Amino acid sequence: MRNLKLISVCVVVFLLSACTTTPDLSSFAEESKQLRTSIGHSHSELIQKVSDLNERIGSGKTKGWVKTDSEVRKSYEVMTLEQANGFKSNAVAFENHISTIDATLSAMVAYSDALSNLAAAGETGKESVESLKKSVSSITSTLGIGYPPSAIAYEGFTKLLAEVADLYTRVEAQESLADAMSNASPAVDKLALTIQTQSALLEQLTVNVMNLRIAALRGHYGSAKIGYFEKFNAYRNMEKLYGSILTDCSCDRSPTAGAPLPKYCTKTPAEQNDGILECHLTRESALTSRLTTLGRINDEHTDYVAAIAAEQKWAKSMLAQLKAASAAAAVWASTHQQATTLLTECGGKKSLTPSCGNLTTDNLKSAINRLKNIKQAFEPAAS
Amino acid sequence: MGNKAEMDAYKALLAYRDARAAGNAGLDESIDFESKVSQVDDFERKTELHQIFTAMNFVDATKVFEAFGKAAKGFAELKDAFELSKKMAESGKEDLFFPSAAAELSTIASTVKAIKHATDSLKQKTGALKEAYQQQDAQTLIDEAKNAKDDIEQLVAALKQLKDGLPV
Repeated sequence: MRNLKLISVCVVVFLLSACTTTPDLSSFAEESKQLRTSIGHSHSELIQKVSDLNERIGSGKTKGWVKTDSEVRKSYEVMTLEQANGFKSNAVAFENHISTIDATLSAMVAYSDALSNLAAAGETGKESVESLKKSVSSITSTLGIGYPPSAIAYEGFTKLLAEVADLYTRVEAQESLADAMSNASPAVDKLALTIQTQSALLEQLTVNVMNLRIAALRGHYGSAKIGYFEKFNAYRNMEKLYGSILTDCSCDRSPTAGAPLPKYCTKTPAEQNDGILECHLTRESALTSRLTTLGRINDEHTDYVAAIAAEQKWAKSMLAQLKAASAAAAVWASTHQQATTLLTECGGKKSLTPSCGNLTTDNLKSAINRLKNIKQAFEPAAS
Repeated sequence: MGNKAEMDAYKALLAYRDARAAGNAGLDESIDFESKVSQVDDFERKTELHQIFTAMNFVDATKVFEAFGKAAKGFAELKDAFELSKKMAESGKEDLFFPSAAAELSTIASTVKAIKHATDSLKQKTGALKEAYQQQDAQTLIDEAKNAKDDIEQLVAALKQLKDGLPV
């Protein structure tokens, strides 16, 4: 057992009837876990998207929308092999970096748990006394030692022990917490800043991954096919097409440079009617053909548009997550800073520092009453 | 119409570039580019714009990966600091006087009880006390008992000191 002379220090501690309350470090430990979980979730999601993109690029090499030869680049080759390979090797390094970060965040959580455990243990002084009493009683009865000694009243003894243990344990815990937290403070501040920097970078990466995934989608569905649909299904172009049938075949209009009057307009009315009908049929046939082509690729284009919307929705959600993690890191560091400042300036033996506000009349009255209460508990033995 | 759509898409491309140069993610600008480039009718021009945009994203991603690697190194340095502080907190917990004293005395109590029981049992079985004391268990009992007695005496003495120091 350690040197029990330490207990004499508790005479001073006794004056701290309302010594500084230990901050709620279990909430801080919970905040730490949530921060790690939130960051870890973002990392996993991003790694998954990057990995999935690289798989798609792999299939693009086979299909041909990743340029792998030295010939002139074709319109459907949405990216080059060099670009794809560079991205893939960076992605491997990225995953390794994520592992490093996760290991540090685990160490941060373990540290926070240790703080929470120490703070909780600092509140177990009274429980310790109960355990001590049981053990002492057990030992003395086993060995046949007389207990408690007749010189001290049992009630006074236990009250004194309980008060000392309660305050002294809290003071001891606060001293150790102040040391550990002061030591970690620079790391906590730097971690919060690094998380903020990292979150900003991951926001940028998210957008790059989204854009590259969209490029891969275009490769997958076919650039020209998508381009055809976008061009000919566009409202303006469809209107132009229908409009041209209505106006271009007509002779009852002024000729323009882009749409001169058809040759049949100079012929007899009957020949004009035949010409107009022929003109309509030809143009409608072209329209029907175009609508058939658009209809054939409509489902794929719909899928492509839906996939783009899904990518954009994911990116928005990721950015929100990353911004939240960044903000949470700042709050987390601030909570740590506040607790550290409180404990280093007013925790433990520094509780009596005037600026800490514990030297109030009420607290002193309470201390005196508690001491009198203990003193009274010794009275029967003394008398 | 065609030229306007191309110009709009080109402006959106520049807006994305500027957003990234300013350190922003460029999400809105990317969405805007995607929307504007889909309006371009000229397929050759549309392809060219897509290729430029994709190339920009590959370059930007490479820069981000590199910067992220540097940030990750910073994380690695912090790990040691957290581990050291964690040890300090754990050590502080182990050193809490009353909880650790309670734990130690509890261990001693159960040890003393167990050894006493073992010795009694040995005495009953052999009926020879002398032999029992020659056993290692018996010596341990003596040592533990002595330690326990010393600890309790110290505790009582310290409390007596405190009691004497209480205000009248």
